[in-house]
Amino acid sequence: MEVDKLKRTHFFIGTGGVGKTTLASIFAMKLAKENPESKIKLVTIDPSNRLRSFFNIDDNKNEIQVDNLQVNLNDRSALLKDFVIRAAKRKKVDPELIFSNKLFSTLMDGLAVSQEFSSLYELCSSHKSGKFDFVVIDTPPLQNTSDFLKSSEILEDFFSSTLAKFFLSQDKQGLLFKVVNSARRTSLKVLASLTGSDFVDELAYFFKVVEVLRIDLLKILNLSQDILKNEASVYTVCNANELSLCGLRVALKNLSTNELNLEKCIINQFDPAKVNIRTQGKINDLKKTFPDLEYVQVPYLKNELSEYKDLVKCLDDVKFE
Amino acid sequence: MALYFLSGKGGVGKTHLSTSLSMHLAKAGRKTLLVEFSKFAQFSEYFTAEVGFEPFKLKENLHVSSWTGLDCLDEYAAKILRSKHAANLFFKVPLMRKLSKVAPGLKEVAVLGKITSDYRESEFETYFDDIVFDCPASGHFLSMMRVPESLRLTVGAGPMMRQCESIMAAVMSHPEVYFALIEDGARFAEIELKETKADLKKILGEKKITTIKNKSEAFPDSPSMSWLSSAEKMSDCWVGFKWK
Repeated sequence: MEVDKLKRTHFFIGTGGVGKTTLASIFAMKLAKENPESKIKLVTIDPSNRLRSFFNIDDNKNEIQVDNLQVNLNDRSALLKDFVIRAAKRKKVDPELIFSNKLFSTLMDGLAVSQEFSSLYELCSSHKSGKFDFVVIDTPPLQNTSDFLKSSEILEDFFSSTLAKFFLSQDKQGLLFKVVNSARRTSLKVLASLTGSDFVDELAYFFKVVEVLRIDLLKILNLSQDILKNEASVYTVCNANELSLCGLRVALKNLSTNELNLEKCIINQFDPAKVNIRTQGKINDLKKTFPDLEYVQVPYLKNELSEYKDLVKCLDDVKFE
Repeated sequence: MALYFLSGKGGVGKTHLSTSLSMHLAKAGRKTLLVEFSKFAQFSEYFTAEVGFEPFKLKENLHVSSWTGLDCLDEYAAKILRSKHAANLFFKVPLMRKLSKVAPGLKEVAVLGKITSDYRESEFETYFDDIVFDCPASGHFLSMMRVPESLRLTVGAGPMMRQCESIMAAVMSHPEVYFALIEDGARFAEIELKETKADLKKILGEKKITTIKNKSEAFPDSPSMSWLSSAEKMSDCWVGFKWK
């Protein structure tokens, strides 16, 4: 397997059930086997049962070392918590003040952005640590692949300073509130009539909380965009069936060129004997519409993989080129 | 009106089964709507048609829609405020547009509010006899279903709290609201189904949850066919299907 040594981070993205974890594991194991002198790290965010089972990791542990490969299981809420504590400390704010916002604590975990952000945060932390020659990151399953590909836009929207300023200005009941233009004041009244004024207060507090995190968030965003553009390879994974290929097409359509260093599109579970005309048509169609991308077809593996030895057996069958 | 929520691990065949169920209901003479909820709609690509917020007629008795959270919020705002003008005042201000995109929970409540509106507000009766909701995969589905309760606990008194309460009441106690979780026989899909079911029970209480095994005797796979023809073929598998 040929890997550009300058591309130190390898990022696997895709919807659930396409084989992302399996392929990321195989990829990391191949890297480790072919580069015995190198230190490799495989990180899974929101680990599935599958990964624990592959590497035989106990329920109460989240790390294991297999020769020169270190496997880490991280969950999203732990990563977010770590980020908030660090950011708050830098601003000399008690992190508990942030966690005590009800919207933040009850909804942050379930928010779509928390998935994308946790992946980017992990990317930056692994990169900064400098301990590894290669890092392979298996991201949480996306609802759509577009979610990740557009994540910096969504995150910037989320943490844009205008929103926070808006709520901060109406927080001060005095002069500042009066200069908030009337259109905004009307909007706020409408928002309150839609949701209730308690919600508006809680929301105002929520954005104040976000304001504390904003500078650190932007740093992570910028750094991760830099890494993704210059030092990382991104692999999107989909299955060789009509619906999954349609999903990939939607994702690629939503992505303007040069936004990401999209290395390869992996079409998983491709069985030449079974592939129907419609599926083949979709593949051809993708290649025609996005000719600059590299497509890799990973064969259909007959046996269900559930243990480490199953993975070892199929290392040679799965090629990433 | 009956309402069907179908979810499960990614790749187990949620869209496939939802579509076949919709086709079955349509064939039985029920006016049926098949809905997906997503920021990045996929139905247009799946059905090779311009599927948007307004129902698109796929065939006799069967319409499909792609709902985004913002569409649903707009509609909800217009209903509550009883005027498109007031809603525009709110939603056409760029900052508010931005806010409604990112404010935690609003979109989820809006979509669940819309889908259950028939049970909650008699004046907004929908045209359809049945709605089939092709839900997001397990984790995203659970996050969405948790929102009304989390928000209810968070926001305190007000229209939002009443909305959340009425959504959960409709979902949990209406006899014609059905939940199904799907697996496809693969070991990890089965494990994930069990976990999702346990988590969903915590949200829905006494509500019964049906489990469906795809690619089984009851719902056989036809890999050589196009997905839409195989969904059509599968629609007959729903005849006599027992919902819990």
